[in-house]
Amino acid sequence: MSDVAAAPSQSGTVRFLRRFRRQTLSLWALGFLIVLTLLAVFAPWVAPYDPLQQDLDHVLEGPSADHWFGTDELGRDVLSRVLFASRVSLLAAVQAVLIALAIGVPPGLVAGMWGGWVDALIMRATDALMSFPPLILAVAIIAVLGPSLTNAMIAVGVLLSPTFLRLMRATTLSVAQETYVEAAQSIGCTRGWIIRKHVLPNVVSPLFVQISVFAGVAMLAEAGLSFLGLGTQPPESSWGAMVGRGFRYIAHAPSLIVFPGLAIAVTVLALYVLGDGLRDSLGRETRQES
Amino acid sequence: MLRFVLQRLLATIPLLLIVSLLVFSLVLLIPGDPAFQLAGEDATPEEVEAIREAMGLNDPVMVRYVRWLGGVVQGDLGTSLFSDQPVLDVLLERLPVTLSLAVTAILISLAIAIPAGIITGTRPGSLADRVVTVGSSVGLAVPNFWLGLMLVLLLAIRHAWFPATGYVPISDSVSGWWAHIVLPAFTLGLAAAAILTRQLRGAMVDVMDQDYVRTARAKGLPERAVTVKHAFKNAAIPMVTILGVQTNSLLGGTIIVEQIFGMPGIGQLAVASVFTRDLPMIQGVVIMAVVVAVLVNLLVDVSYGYFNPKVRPK
Repeated sequence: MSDVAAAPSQSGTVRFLRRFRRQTLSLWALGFLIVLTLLAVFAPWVAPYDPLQQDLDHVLEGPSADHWFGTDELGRDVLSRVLFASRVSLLAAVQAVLIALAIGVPPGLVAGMWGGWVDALIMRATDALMSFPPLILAVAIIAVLGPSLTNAMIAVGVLLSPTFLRLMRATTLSVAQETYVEAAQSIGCTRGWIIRKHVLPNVVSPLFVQISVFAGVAMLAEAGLSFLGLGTQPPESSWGAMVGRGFRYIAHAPSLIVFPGLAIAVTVLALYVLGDGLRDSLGRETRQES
Repeated sequence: MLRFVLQRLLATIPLLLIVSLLVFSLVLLIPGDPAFQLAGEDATPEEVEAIREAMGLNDPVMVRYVRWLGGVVQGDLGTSLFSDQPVLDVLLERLPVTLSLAVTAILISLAIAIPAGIITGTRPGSLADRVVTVGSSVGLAVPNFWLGLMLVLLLAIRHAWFPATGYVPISDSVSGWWAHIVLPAFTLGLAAAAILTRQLRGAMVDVMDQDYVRTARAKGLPERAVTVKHAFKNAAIPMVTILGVQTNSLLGGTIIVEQIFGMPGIGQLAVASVFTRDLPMIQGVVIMAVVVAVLVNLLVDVSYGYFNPKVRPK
């Protein structure tokens, strides 16, 4: 981890935006995510049917003009259910990333800024946390707290936090060695002031790259846990939970798992592509950090 | 070399101690009275008391931790609250399933990543490169349980080429084992293959620019020998690190894959134990997983020495 670009000035942001505008694929991904978010927010108006409305005369049907994505075991419209489930899946990913930031960022700052035994202690704990196979740790946490979406997202947040912690620590360490920080210290600025004024501005951009990628990772984790029945609990439904329930009807109505699965794959892909685009748009120095 | 291995083993002891503390603390995280919670809602006071007794919950925390750790070190992982069997016995019975799944998945991912990484890394910007790069992004984004279900749907239900579920030990029938392991192992290994391909491609692009590659070419070595002997062996070093990290997440992925393909491994056990609230079993699963992960990473460290003589201890 070498030096980091100086605090982004106005021109830095402009340069970033100019670079990002050239990333066609990332722009598409961003567009897709915006449309998806709008669809999730306005699901009650956009969805063709009530996602809970049963129609026992039309169960487990394939895609048709009336039901674009087919119907499930109770005759409910799969397209409407996918649209409503997007709310749960998107919110769950946001929740997990926020939890990971809350757990990872403050100790990362402390470790980088204070150093010494505090740093050693925090880093050993991080190493231990990272030595767990991720999903197994999540399952263990859920075993203790009980299966629910919030508990699953707490578990995923804990899993993702070490990366944020290391990113914060590395950036803080490199900024702390800069001459202007030394100068600030010598005129008696407090650590809190230095963190606010010098460290945070430097960490924002690599953090955004990581947030975008981790939103995808969190979404996959939520889907996997809900698929296992350890995340979203009925009557709520996420894309992963839909695939989990559709599993039973795989031979009769594959559309039950095909469409929610595609929704997960495309959304996660969009988040990864966006992350790649953001990283490539950062300044060269910062790019090497993330 | 032996000293290096021993040093690395000793270095894992503090790590394992912290891990043991974290695993032990799981009991403390249970909201409310753990014995009451683990016994379930309609348990009699006697049942609750029996669990309290079995888990030694009446003693102070530190006493419990030391006693528990003492047991773990001697291979006593406690008794399942669900089946009353020793946890270690259940785990050892299921470990071969999970290990053979994970190892096959790693081999499949390497079988995909090495050729794909070499081909794309030696021809950056080519059509093959672009196809593989897009393919690896897709491979990363597709949820593994969904991929598994699609494979079951297409290759086991639509065309009965593979059995959809189950597991046959390799000692019973090699062909039966292979037929049952291919789909789950491919499902598990694809994401790792995507990451390894990206990594190897990047490393190959860098290495192909090095002076020693130019020298090898200049002295008239055939391109194949330059690529495999000089470039690949150097580009493989960072890939070994990634492989260690990937093994960790692969072990986690077995939870989902075993569930889809009905394989009686440790992952399936973990999920079942969540629903039966069998905490000693969960703790056992986590400890076993961490020990396997730590051993794999030790192997990774040691294999550096093979790939890169520069890091070999003097």
